[in-house]
Amino acid sequence: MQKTLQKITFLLIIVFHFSFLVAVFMDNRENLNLYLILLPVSVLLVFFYLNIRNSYEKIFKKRDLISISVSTYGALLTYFFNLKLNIGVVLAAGIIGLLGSIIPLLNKNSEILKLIPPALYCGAFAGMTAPFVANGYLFIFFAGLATGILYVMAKNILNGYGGKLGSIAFGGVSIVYSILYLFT
Amino acid sequence: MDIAIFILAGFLSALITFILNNHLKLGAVTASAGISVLAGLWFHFFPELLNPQLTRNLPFVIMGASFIGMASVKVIPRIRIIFIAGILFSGIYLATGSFFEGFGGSLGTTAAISLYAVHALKKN
Repeated sequence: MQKTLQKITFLLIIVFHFSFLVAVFMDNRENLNLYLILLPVSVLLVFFYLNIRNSYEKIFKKRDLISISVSTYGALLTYFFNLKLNIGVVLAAGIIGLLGSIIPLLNKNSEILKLIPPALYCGAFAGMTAPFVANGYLFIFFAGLATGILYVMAKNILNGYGGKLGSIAFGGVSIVYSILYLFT
Repeated sequence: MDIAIFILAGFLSALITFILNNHLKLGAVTASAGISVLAGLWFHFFPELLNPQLTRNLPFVIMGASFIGMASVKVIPRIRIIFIAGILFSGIYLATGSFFEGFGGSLGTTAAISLYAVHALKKN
């Protein structure tokens, strides 16, 4: 069951990446430069996913709930910083990430504290969503929550590859946005 | 000129983050968040140093490319994959324009797509 969930998450990440590419194509249909860049990139992405091998050894633990909570918190904090302090999303997410990376230094032997930086930074990416898309803290709460759940489900997937956390956050935001779009 | 600056920013951000992360052992989150905070602070306090287009977009390019540098040297041992992916990231960012506005995670998704595409080029 757990392996199946992780395999589904891997498939979801592939779907997020190709949906993103399709959305970019649709949004810039008359931009020829884009075709020159993104068509070969899309083909190479297919080759990448055909060759990637994941191990699904680690299983879910109770401490994963901490990662989910931290991700939600990271999203809300980033959105709050951006909105109230007016410092921009890059600085807001960067500050949250940097603060999170200090937390394990409080107790270097704690395995729980080591979970916090990547989960918080991942949530922070979801919190980078603009107010005109999110339209409130409730959206950001659910986007951070969805991001946290995906983050935990993807913990054995694509480890060590850059961009994984952002892809997960994009997935979390897209899922909540799609649900709202369909039901409101 | 602006295009060259965007490409240079993507290249340097990915490369510096990768070095901070793997060679100076700062860790992926500290390296990327540190670079992003520096970029964010710079353009927050000096908004009129460069032209409006650069001031508006360079922080996004720097942060997005830094996600590429979050890769582990165990998975991406060749540093040239990182800087080529950084350049590709800038290229995609420039070509896609307004699509980046609004959706959280879109920079990371572009970083992942750039890195995976360059990585596939090496393998095949």
